[in-house]
Parts: sequence; structure tokens; C-alpha cells
Amino acid sequence: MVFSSIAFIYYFLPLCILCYFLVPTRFRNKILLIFSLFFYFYGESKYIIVLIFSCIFNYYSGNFILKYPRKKKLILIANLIINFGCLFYFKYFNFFITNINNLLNTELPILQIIMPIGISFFTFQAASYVIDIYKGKVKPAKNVFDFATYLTLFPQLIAGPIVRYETVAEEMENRTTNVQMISAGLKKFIIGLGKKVLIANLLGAFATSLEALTAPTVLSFWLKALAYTFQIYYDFSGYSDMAIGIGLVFGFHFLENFNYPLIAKSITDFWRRWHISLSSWFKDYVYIPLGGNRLGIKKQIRNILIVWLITGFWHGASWNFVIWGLYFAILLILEKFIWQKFLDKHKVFAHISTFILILFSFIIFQTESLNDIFLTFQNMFNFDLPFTNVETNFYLSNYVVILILAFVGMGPWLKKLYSKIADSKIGKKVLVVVEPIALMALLLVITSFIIDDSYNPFLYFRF
Amino acid sequence: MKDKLTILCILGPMFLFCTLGILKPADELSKEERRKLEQMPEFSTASILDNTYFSKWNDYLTDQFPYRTEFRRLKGMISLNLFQKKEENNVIQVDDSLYELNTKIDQKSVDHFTELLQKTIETYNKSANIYYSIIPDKTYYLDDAIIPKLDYEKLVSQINEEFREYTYISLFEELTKESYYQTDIHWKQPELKEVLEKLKKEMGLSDTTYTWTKEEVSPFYGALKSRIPNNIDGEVITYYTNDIIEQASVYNYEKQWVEKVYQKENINNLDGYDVFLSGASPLLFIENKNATTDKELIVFRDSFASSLVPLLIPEYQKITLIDLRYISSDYLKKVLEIDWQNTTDILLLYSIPVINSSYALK
Repeated sequence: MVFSSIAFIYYFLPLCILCYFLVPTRFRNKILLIFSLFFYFYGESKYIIVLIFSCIFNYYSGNFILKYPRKKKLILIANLIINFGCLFYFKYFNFFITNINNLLNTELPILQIIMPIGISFFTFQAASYVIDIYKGKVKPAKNVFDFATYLTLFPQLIAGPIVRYETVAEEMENRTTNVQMISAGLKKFIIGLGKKVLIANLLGAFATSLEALTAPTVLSFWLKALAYTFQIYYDFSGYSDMAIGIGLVFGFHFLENFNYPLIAKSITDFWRRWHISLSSWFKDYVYIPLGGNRLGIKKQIRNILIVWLITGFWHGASWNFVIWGLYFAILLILEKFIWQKFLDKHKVFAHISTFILILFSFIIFQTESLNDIFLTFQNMFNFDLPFTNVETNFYLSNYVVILILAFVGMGPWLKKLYSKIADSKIGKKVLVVVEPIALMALLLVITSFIIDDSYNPFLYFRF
Repeated sequence: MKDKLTILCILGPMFLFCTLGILKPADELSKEERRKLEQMPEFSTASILDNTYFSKWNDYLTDQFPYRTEFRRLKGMISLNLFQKKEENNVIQVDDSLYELNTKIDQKSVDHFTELLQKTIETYNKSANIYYSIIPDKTYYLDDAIIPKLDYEKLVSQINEEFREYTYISLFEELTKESYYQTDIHWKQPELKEVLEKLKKEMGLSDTTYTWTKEEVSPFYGALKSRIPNNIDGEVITYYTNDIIEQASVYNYEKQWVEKVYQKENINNLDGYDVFLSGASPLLFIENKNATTDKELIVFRDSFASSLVPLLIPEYQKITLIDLRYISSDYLKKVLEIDWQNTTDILLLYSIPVINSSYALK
């Protein structure tokens, strides 16, 4: 089930909230578990079994680590092999077979495998749970149902953020919620939904229109890259906002997953702001265990390359994702050792150049064929092509307001303006009525776009 | 206070529409969208396993959402007024008329179209006089400098190249943007005077002038009207008739009954253009009992022909209309009623939207 659907907004969510608050506190985790399993079953019926297996397997792995301290390393290794083995089978098996066939000229059979939605997310959550128990950072969940509630929790189940058990361990057993939290959660949900439906989807349609131009132009290639960059940002950050918002309604405090990444002043800064739960996962579970930056420059470079290779690969079983990861690895290394000081001194240049580098990265990200990646870059600087034409101008004018909204929303400026209004005496009074009504109006507008829109994908589902 | 109001303003509509949605009986069709609405899916283990069951639930809940039509209008208003979009659902409004955007030639579709028609004619009758006309969509008549359009010249020259053995009758100059309904893709019959004259001249038909009676039926809401918010009123379908047309019989092969050329009551169908020759039909046989000629015509056609062909009835003893979107060209050999041998003229009459999206032609 996707958040931006009538089924979720008008049936699943209100019924879940109603049941959750009607039952006594001790049954609330069970309610969340039942609704979460149904949420997954609705979208990916037959793979519910994979999810249930992951819940039981990882819960008992954690328990066995505590029960058999002498064999805890062996249990951890076995657990990680099975967890990542499953992920490998569903996500990467055919990729490797295809490449082996291409490389060795063999004809190994390609299997008919459909990847269970969200497997990359719940595998990483489960692995962090078992590793943290191994390290003694967290206690195991009280029972398998509590652990299953954590792992399957529907707000973050299929597209993150990757919520570590340590973040919500206490709240799994004992949490409270109040009017302020429910209100703030619902507000965050509606704003996230708006980012997804009103900006990401429309800019996705813009990118599709530009993709289909009869005669592409230099401007159309740049606009396509821009539209796709905004689309993926608003799509994914909107989803994270919705997840965090729903979590808050039920009393969970998930960590923020995005912090205005498109205004970053360097690539290092960008990755502190983009998909924070993933980059911090890799930092804590891969980069630091490999030695981080403590073992000299050569090993630091090696570690950066390994982490970013895996980060790229995490996003998909395709060479463009590997290149995408390495692209960032190289930029991060160059920044760290060569031009960080220069960027620190020239802030405007730093912001603009970082934005352009991010734009380029998403060209690699969205284009599967290496040849097409090359052609896109070539055409962006191909001045033999016309700079623009009637078609490009028409579609630009068609989406210009959305583009402006996307630019305005990529920084904290609206939030600052809101705070300024909320801090003033009159503003505070006005907002008491205006804000709830504006949110309701936004919900109804979003509904109208969902009802009449065929273009409604969630980009991060495929990861 | 603000928090409570926020909860009320967000959860209120959620619970309200949830309740209304559960209580509201399912609508069968949306007249505005001209389509059947999704009904509650039937449960089966297979549909669960292949994920279609819940996918249909999604469609069902969206299609049957309370005040769906009003929400669609709201979306259109926001898109056009707030977001300043020029198009909505691939439709634009210029002055008082709606136009569908179509900018790319689908080469495979054009090839499919020409190959299928050539093969069909080769199979059944290549001795008749074979004519073809391409009907431009009305976007052709818009300003090139502002609106992106198809490369019509290229498209026509490609078809001309493939159909070089047939006689081309160009209709581009005989039409203007006023020749089409404001809210629909189709042309208006009263605006086809020059088209008719050109066809008759090129096909060597008589130059007899007939007396016509004008009939009107309304309101007609075209296919484009529901795709973009607009203030265009319902239009009037005007058609010409006379004794010859009134006495002609139309045998509908699919329905196996005889019907009239014009059926006013069809204005209430999902597509009001069904007034002409009862709309989408695979195979129609029009018999002109008052014919003064033994000429027979076969028209391979799409829906544009429905309003034009009635005006050709006085010129033929029999007209056969074949719509390959609804009947396979291979199946035609089983239809004994088609008199291939005595057919004197064959006319291929297709509009550009169908040529450029011809995969339904079989």
C-alpha cells in the first residue's frame, strides 16, 4: 500500500488510528502489528512470508546471542549471512548471473525473481538490531511480537527511514502520546504528502514530457536533470516526512532523514543531509568497523571507496548505481584532500557547484544504460543542438510554477518565515485558525490530485 | 486549541469520507469521464498471489470516492489557476476550444497502419479504385510558434510513400479549426461541405446537388471537456438529412439488426457522437434503396467517417463501413455480406490520432 493512495489516507490510516486509541495501552503494539502486516500484505501479498520469517529469525538470533555468549560471534555471522543472503538472492542474484554470462559467455539461467518491497530497508534494520545486541548496545525486545511490531511498523516498513532498534527500544515498551504530538504528526504527514503528490509527481510528469520530446534541446536535457533531482528529493523526503509524522501520532520519535540536502555547501555536507538514516548506518556498521579515518590516508581512501561502492549497490542491482556510488566516493575523496578549504572560502560557488554535482549524480542515478548516461552528459553541452524550441518552451511554461515551488522548498526559508509569523503576537493568533484550515485545504487538494492522477510512483520502493 | 483544531481538520475529513465511501452505493459509470468505474473486486486466491486483488481495490476505492467529479474539477482549477499549467491531462484550451496535445510521431504505429491496410486491400480487392484521406486533428490549425505539434508534413509524406499506388485526397486545406467541435476531437458535419465536394470530385462522383433538411440535437459534451476545467457550454450536434438518407437502411453486423443512419436518442450515450451511425461499430452495411447507380463503396474508417459517410449515401447503392479496431482484417473473409467483387470504390478514411496510435487496428 502506498501512502499517497485513497486506500491509505481515507481507509487504512483513520481505521488504524481509531483502533489504536480505542484499545487499552497494552494492546496497542498488537494493533500496530496487525495493521502493519495487513499494510504489507495489501501491497505484496505472497512475500509477507519473507517478512514474517525475518521477524522470527532475527528476534531469536538476538536472543541466542545473549543466551550463548561464547558462540555469539558465530551466531552473528550466521545471522548476517542469512539476512544478506536473502537480500542478495532477491535483489542481486540475476544481476550477477547476467554479468557472469556476459563475461564468461555462459548461459546460466536467469531466475524469475520479484524483489519483495522494502527488503533493503527491513534487512538493514534487522541486521542493526542483531549487531547492536552483539555489541551490547541494546537489550533484545521483550517478546517476538514487540520485535515484529518494530520491524514491520508500517510507517517506515517499505521506504524507510531506517529506524534502528536503539532509537525506539524504549518507546516500543513504554510510550505516550498527546494532542501536541498527534497534531504535529498529522501536520508532518500532510506536508510530506503534499511534497510527494503536488511537487514530486508533477515534476516526474515534467521529466517524462521532456524525455518524450520530438526534438530534444540543450535546455531540455538540463531541465530533465533538474526535474528528476527535485522529483526524487520531494518523493523520498516527502515519504520520510509522512513516516515520521505517522510515527509521531503513535508516540514514536523517528530521527529526521533529510535536512535540506539540496542547499548543501559540499558533497560531504550533502551526505550529512540526504537519507541520513542510510549514510549513518553505513558509517556506523561499515566505515568505522573498517577503521574509518584512523588508519592512515590510504586505508581511509580504501574505506571511503568500499562504503560508497556498497551504498551505490544498495540502491539497485545495476551498474549505474555502482558508478553513482563511486562518483560520490571520488568527489568525497577530492573534497577531503584537495578542495574543501577552497569551498569553505567561496560559499556561493560552493553551493552552486555542489548543486550542479548533485544534479549530475541523479542523471547517473536515473539512467540505467551507461551509453545513455554518456549521451545525456554529451547533449547537455552539445551546442550543435538548438538551445531551446517550441516544445521545450511549452513544457517549461507548463511547469514553471511547480519548479519555482520546488526551488523555494529546497531550503529552510519557508520554515523560517513560518517561525517568524508564529513568533509574532498577531501571527500566533491568526495561525490558531488559519493553519488547521490550510492543512485541511491542502489535504483536499492533494486528494483531488490523487483521484485524477495516473502518475503516482514511489521511487524508493524499488530499493 | 490549535492542536485540537488541527486534529479535527485533518482526521475529520478522513473519517467523514471514509464513512461516506462505505455508505455510498457504487456508481457504474462516470458520464463525465466517459468510462465504466471499477467495481468491488472478486476475491480469489490467484488474484491475491499475483497482487491484482488489492490493486483492483485501490482502483475501486479511487473510482468510487465520494464527490469524485467535484474533486476532479478542483484539481483542474488548482492546476490551471494556481499552478498556471497550460495543459491538463494532455489537453489545452485555446480561445473557446479544447485541443489534445500530440507531438510525437509513433513510427511503429504508422508502419503498422500502412502495412495492415495494404495487406487487407491486397487480400480482398485490389482492382477497385482505391482512395485515401488523412484527417488532421484540429491541433494542426493552431499557431506553430506557441503550441508543440506533430510533424504533419513528415507523417503525410510517409503515408503517401507507402500508399503510392492509391489515390490521395488531401483534406488539410478544406478544414479549419472551426470545422471541429469545441469540446471534442471530431469534425462537425455542417462544416464538411468542401470536404464532400473534394471527395466527390476526386472520386468521380456525380455533382448532383441535393436538398437537405437541417436537424439539431443537444447538448453534446465532447471527449475533451471532462479532461480540463472549462466554461464551454454543451454544444449542438447539427446534421443534414433528406428522404434518401431517411429511407436508407443500416445493417449492424455486430448487433444483427437494422437501424437508422441518425439516432437522435444516442446523444445521451457516453459518447454523444453516437448520433451518427450508432457510434463505434465493427461493420455496417448501408443500403440505398433509391440509388440511381449500382456503385458500391467500402470505407475502412474510424469514428470521423460516421458523420461524413451519410452525405455520400446518395452516391452509392451500397456502402460498407469497416472499423478494424473492432473487427480483425482476417475475420473479414468470413463475412459473406461483404461484396468484394462488385465494389467499385474503396476509401481509407483515417484521422491522425488513430494513425499515430493504430495498435488497436487488427
